[in-house]
Amino acid sequence: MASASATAGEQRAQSLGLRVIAILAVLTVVEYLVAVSVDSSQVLVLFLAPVALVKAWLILQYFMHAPRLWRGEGGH
Amino acid sequence: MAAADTAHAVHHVDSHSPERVRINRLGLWLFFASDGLLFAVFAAARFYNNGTFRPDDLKQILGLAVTAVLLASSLTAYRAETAIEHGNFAHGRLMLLLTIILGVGFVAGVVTEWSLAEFTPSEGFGTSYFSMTGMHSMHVITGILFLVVIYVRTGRGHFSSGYTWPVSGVIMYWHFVDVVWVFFYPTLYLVK
Repeated sequence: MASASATAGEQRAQSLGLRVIAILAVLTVVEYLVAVSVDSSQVLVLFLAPVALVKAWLILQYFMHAPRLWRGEGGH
Repeated sequence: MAAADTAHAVHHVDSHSPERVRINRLGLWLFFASDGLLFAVFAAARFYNNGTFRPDDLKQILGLAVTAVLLASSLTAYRAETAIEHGNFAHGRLMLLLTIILGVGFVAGVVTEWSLAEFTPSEGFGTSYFSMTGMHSMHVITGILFLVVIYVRTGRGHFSSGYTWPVSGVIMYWHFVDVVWVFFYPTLYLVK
Protein backbone atom coordinates (compact mmCIF):
# COMPACT_ATOMS: atom_id res chain seq x y z
CA MET A 1 0.00 0.00 0.00
CA ALA A 2 1.52 3.29 -1.01
CA SER A 3 2.01 5.82 1.74
CA ALA A 4 0.83 9.42 1.47
CA SER A 5 4.40 10.68 0.93
CA ALA A 6 5.00 8.01 -1.71
CA THR A 7 1.84 9.10 -3.46
CA ALA A 8 3.00 12.71 -3.45
CA GLY A 9 6.38 11.59 -4.79
CA GLU A 10 4.67 9.53 -7.45
CA GLN A 11 2.54 12.49 -8.49
CA ARG A 12 5.64 14.70 -8.78
CA ALA A 13 7.34 12.06 -10.92
CA GLN A 14 4.26 11.62 -13.12
CA SER A 15 4.06 15.37 -13.60
CA LEU A 16 7.71 15.45 -14.66
CA GLY A 17 7.05 12.64 -17.14
CA LEU A 18 4.16 14.57 -18.66
CA ARG A 19 6.31 17.68 -19.11
CA VAL A 20 9.09 15.70 -20.77
CA ILE A 21 6.73 13.89 -23.13
CA ALA A 22 5.05 17.21 -24.03
CA ILE A 23 8.44 18.67 -25.02
CA LEU A 24 9.25 15.52 -27.02
CA ALA A 25 5.90 15.71 -28.81
CA VAL A 26 6.35 19.39 -29.69
CA LEU A 27 9.88 18.76 -31.00
CA THR A 28 8.64 15.84 -33.10
CA VAL A 29 5.87 17.91 -34.67
CA VAL A 30 8.33 20.76 -35.35
CA GLU A 31 10.73 18.26 -36.97
CA TYR A 32 7.95 17.03 -39.22
CA LEU A 33 6.70 20.49 -40.18
CA VAL A 34 10.20 21.74 -40.98
CA ALA A 35 10.95 18.60 -43.00
CA VAL A 36 7.86 18.97 -45.19
CA SER A 37 8.39 22.69 -45.75
CA VAL A 38 12.18 23.01 -46.24
CA ASP A 39 13.82 21.79 -49.44
CA SER A 40 17.49 22.31 -48.61
CA SER A 41 19.15 19.06 -47.50
CA GLN A 42 21.88 20.91 -45.65
CA VAL A 43 19.44 23.07 -43.70
CA LEU A 44 17.37 20.02 -42.86
CA VAL A 45 20.32 17.99 -41.58
CA LEU A 46 21.66 20.96 -39.61
CA PHE A 47 18.23 21.42 -38.01
CA LEU A 48 17.24 17.80 -37.46
CA ALA A 49 20.53 16.57 -35.96
CA PRO A 50 20.56 18.86 -32.91
CA VAL A 51 16.82 18.37 -32.36
CA ALA A 52 17.33 14.60 -32.32
CA LEU A 53 20.20 15.02 -29.86
CA VAL A 54 18.04 17.12 -27.54
CA LYS A 55 15.22 14.55 -27.71
CA ALA A 56 17.65 11.71 -26.98
CA TRP A 57 19.14 13.63 -24.05
CA LEU A 58 15.68 14.20 -22.56
CA ILE A 59 14.91 10.47 -22.70
CA LEU A 60 18.32 9.45 -21.35
CA GLN A 61 18.18 11.98 -18.53
CA TYR A 62 14.59 11.71 -17.36
CA PHE A 63 13.23 8.38 -18.58
CA MET A 64 16.35 6.20 -18.47
CA HIS A 65 17.70 7.87 -15.32
CA ALA A 66 21.26 8.13 -16.64
CA PRO A 67 22.42 10.03 -13.50
CA ARG A 68 21.65 6.92 -11.41
CA LEU A 69 24.72 5.34 -13.01
CA TRP A 70 27.03 7.49 -10.90
CA ARG A 71 24.67 8.57 -8.12
CA GLY A 72 23.31 5.14 -7.34
CA GLU A 73 19.66 4.40 -6.71
CA GLY A 74 17.29 7.26 -6.22
CA GLY A 75 13.59 7.44 -6.58
CA HIS A 76 11.71 9.41 -9.16
CA MET B 1 34.54 -27.03 2.96
CA ALA B 2 34.80 -24.10 5.38
CA ALA B 3 37.12 -22.31 2.96
CA ALA B 4 34.65 -22.86 0.15
CA ASP B 5 31.85 -21.46 2.28
CA THR B 6 33.93 -18.41 3.12
CA ALA B 7 34.79 -17.83 -0.51
CA HIS B 8 31.16 -18.18 -1.42
CA ALA B 9 30.18 -15.68 1.27
CA VAL B 10 32.80 -13.20 0.03
CA HIS B 11 31.78 -13.44 -3.61
CA HIS B 12 28.09 -13.85 -3.10
CA VAL B 13 26.17 -10.66 -3.67
CA ASP B 14 22.50 -10.72 -2.85
CA SER B 15 20.54 -10.22 -6.06
CA HIS B 16 18.42 -7.57 -4.33
CA SER B 17 21.33 -5.62 -2.82
CA PRO B 18 22.16 -2.09 -4.01
CA GLU B 19 25.61 -3.32 -5.03
CA ARG B 20 24.10 -6.00 -7.28
CA VAL B 21 21.69 -3.47 -8.79
CA ARG B 22 24.59 -1.08 -9.51
CA ILE B 23 26.44 -3.88 -11.31
CA ASN B 24 23.30 -4.80 -13.26
CA ARG B 25 22.71 -1.18 -14.21
CA LEU B 26 26.28 -0.73 -15.44
CA GLY B 27 26.02 -3.94 -17.46
CA LEU B 28 22.79 -2.77 -19.07
CA TRP B 29 24.34 0.58 -20.04
CA LEU B 30 27.32 -1.22 -21.55
CA PHE B 31 24.85 -3.27 -23.60
CA PHE B 32 23.13 -0.04 -24.71
CA ALA B 33 26.50 1.37 -25.81
CA SER B 34 27.27 -1.78 -27.77
CA ASP B 35 23.83 -2.05 -29.34
CA GLY B 36 23.77 1.69 -30.01
CA LEU B 37 26.94 1.37 -32.08
CA LEU B 38 25.25 -1.32 -34.17
CA PHE B 39 22.34 1.03 -34.89
CA ALA B 40 24.79 3.85 -35.62
CA VAL B 41 26.44 1.70 -38.27
CA PHE B 42 23.04 1.15 -39.92
CA ALA B 43 22.40 4.90 -39.96
CA ALA B 44 25.88 5.63 -41.31
CA ALA B 45 25.39 3.04 -44.05
CA ARG B 46 22.11 4.71 -45.03
CA PHE B 47 23.88 8.05 -45.65
CA TYR B 48 26.95 6.41 -47.21
CA ASN B 49 24.87 4.43 -49.71
CA ASN B 50 22.02 6.86 -50.42
CA GLY B 51 23.19 10.30 -49.31
CA THR B 52 20.12 12.23 -48.17
CA PHE B 53 17.89 10.75 -50.87
CA ARG B 54 14.51 9.41 -49.88
CA PRO B 55 11.66 8.37 -52.16
CA ASP B 56 8.71 10.74 -52.44
CA ASP B 57 6.22 7.91 -51.92
CA LEU B 58 7.34 7.23 -48.36
CA LYS B 59 4.20 7.47 -46.20
CA GLN B 60 4.98 10.53 -44.08
CA ILE B 61 1.77 10.46 -42.04
CA LEU B 62 2.30 6.80 -41.21
CA GLY B 63 5.88 7.54 -40.16
CA LEU B 64 4.71 10.35 -37.91
CA ALA B 65 1.92 8.15 -36.51
CA VAL B 66 4.23 5.27 -35.52
CA THR B 67 6.62 7.80 -34.00
CA ALA B 68 3.78 9.25 -31.94
CA VAL B 69 2.75 5.76 -30.82
CA LEU B 70 6.29 4.92 -29.69
CA LEU B 71 6.59 8.26 -27.87
CA ALA B 72 3.27 7.61 -26.13
CA SER B 73 4.54 4.18 -25.10
CA SER B 74 7.56 5.83 -23.49
CA LEU B 75 5.21 7.84 -21.30
CA THR B 76 3.17 4.80 -20.27
CA ALA B 77 6.39 2.86 -19.59
CA TYR B 78 7.68 5.70 -17.43
CA ARG B 79 4.38 5.86 -15.56
CA ALA B 80 4.47 2.08 -15.02
CA GLU B 81 7.98 2.24 -13.56
CA THR B 82 7.12 5.22 -11.36
CA ALA B 83 3.94 3.60 -10.07
CA ILE B 84 5.64 0.29 -9.26
CA GLU B 85 8.57 2.05 -7.56
CA HIS B 86 6.03 3.78 -5.33
CA GLY B 87 4.14 0.59 -4.55
CA ASN B 88 1.16 1.40 -6.79
CA PHE B 89 1.18 -1.99 -8.51
CA ALA B 90 -2.34 -1.90 -9.96
CA HIS B 91 -1.66 1.33 -11.85
CA GLY B 92 1.78 0.03 -12.80
CA ARG B 93 0.27 -3.08 -14.38
CA LEU B 94 -2.29 -1.02 -16.25
CA MET B 95 0.47 1.18 -17.67
CA LEU B 96 2.54 -1.90 -18.57
CA LEU B 97 -0.44 -3.29 -20.46
CA LEU B 98 -0.91 0.00 -22.32
CA THR B 99 2.79 0.01 -23.19
CA ILE B 100 2.51 -3.51 -24.61
CA ILE B 101 -0.53 -2.51 -26.68
CA LEU B 102 1.23 0.60 -28.00
CA GLY B 103 4.30 -1.49 -28.82
CA VAL B 104 2.17 -3.91 -30.82
CA GLY B 105 0.60 -0.88 -32.53
CA PHE B 106 4.05 0.40 -33.50
CA VAL B 107 5.02 -2.95 -35.03
CA ALA B 108 1.69 -3.10 -36.86
CA GLY B 109 2.37 0.38 -38.26
CA VAL B 110 5.81 -0.65 -39.51
CA VAL B 111 4.39 -3.81 -41.10
CA THR B 112 1.71 -1.67 -42.80
CA GLU B 113 4.39 0.65 -44.11
CA TRP B 114 6.33 -2.34 -45.44
CA SER B 115 3.24 -3.64 -47.26
CA LEU B 116 2.54 -0.21 -48.78
CA ALA B 117 6.12 0.63 -49.75
CA GLU B 118 6.65 1.08 -53.47
CA PHE B 119 10.34 0.26 -53.20
CA THR B 120 11.93 -3.13 -52.59
CA PRO B 121 14.70 -4.29 -50.23
CA SER B 122 16.98 -4.76 -53.23
CA GLU B 123 16.87 -1.05 -54.15
CA GLY B 124 19.36 1.42 -52.65
CA PHE B 125 17.07 3.19 -50.20
CA GLY B 126 14.97 0.07 -49.68
CA THR B 127 17.99 -1.85 -48.40
CA SER B 128 18.58 0.78 -45.72
CA TYR B 129 14.90 1.26 -44.96
CA PHE B 130 13.98 -2.40 -44.52
CA SER B 131 17.15 -3.32 -42.63
CA MET B 132 16.90 -0.35 -40.24
CA THR B 133 13.18 -0.67 -39.53
CA GLY B 134 13.50 -4.47 -39.41
CA MET B 135 16.34 -4.40 -36.91
CA HIS B 136 14.55 -1.80 -34.82
CA SER B 137 11.26 -3.69 -34.90
CA MET B 138 13.02 -6.85 -33.72
CA HIS B 139 14.14 -4.85 -30.69
CA VAL B 140 10.59 -3.58 -30.17
CA ILE B 141 9.25 -7.15 -30.31
CA THR B 142 11.90 -8.26 -27.83
CA GLY B 143 10.90 -5.36 -25.59
CA ILE B 144 7.25 -6.41 -25.79
CA LEU B 145 8.18 -9.93 -24.69
CA PHE B 146 10.16 -8.51 -21.75
CA LEU B 147 7.20 -6.29 -20.84
CA VAL B 148 4.86 -9.28 -20.85
CA VAL B 149 7.19 -11.12 -18.45
CA ILE B 150 7.30 -8.10 -16.15
CA TYR B 151 3.53 -7.69 -16.38
CA VAL B 152 2.99 -11.31 -15.30
CA ARG B 153 5.61 -11.16 -12.54
CA THR B 154 4.16 -7.92 -11.16
CA GLY B 155 0.76 -9.61 -11.02
CA ARG B 156 2.27 -12.49 -9.05
CA GLY B 157 3.75 -10.12 -6.48
CA HIS B 158 7.39 -10.73 -7.40
CA PHE B 159 8.38 -7.13 -6.74
CA SER B 160 8.18 -4.76 -3.81
CA SER B 161 8.56 -1.00 -3.79
CA GLY B 162 12.07 -1.61 -2.40
CA TYR B 163 13.08 -4.00 -5.16
CA THR B 164 12.07 -3.05 -8.69
CA TRP B 165 15.29 -3.51 -10.64
CA PRO B 166 13.85 -6.01 -13.17
CA VAL B 167 11.05 -3.54 -13.93
CA SER B 168 13.52 -0.65 -14.25
CA GLY B 169 15.80 -2.72 -16.48
CA VAL B 170 13.02 -3.64 -18.89
CA ILE B 171 11.64 -0.09 -18.94
CA MET B 172 15.15 1.28 -19.61
CA TYR B 173 15.45 -1.12 -22.53
CA TRP B 174 12.12 0.15 -23.85
CA HIS B 175 13.31 3.75 -23.64
CA PHE B 176 16.57 2.77 -25.36
CA VAL B 177 14.53 1.44 -28.29
CA ASP B 178 12.73 4.80 -28.32
CA VAL B 179 16.05 6.68 -28.36
CA VAL B 180 17.11 4.67 -31.41
CA TRP B 181 13.89 5.67 -33.18
CA VAL B 182 14.52 9.33 -32.27
CA PHE B 183 17.48 9.09 -34.67
CA PHE B 184 16.01 6.63 -37.17
CA TYR B 185 12.83 8.64 -37.78
CA PRO B 186 14.56 11.73 -39.22
CA THR B 187 17.22 9.56 -40.87
CA LEU B 188 14.64 7.57 -42.83
CA TYR B 189 11.60 9.83 -43.13
CA LEU B 190 12.67 13.45 -42.88
CA VAL B 191 16.04 14.15 -44.47
CA LYS B 192 15.95 14.56 -48.23
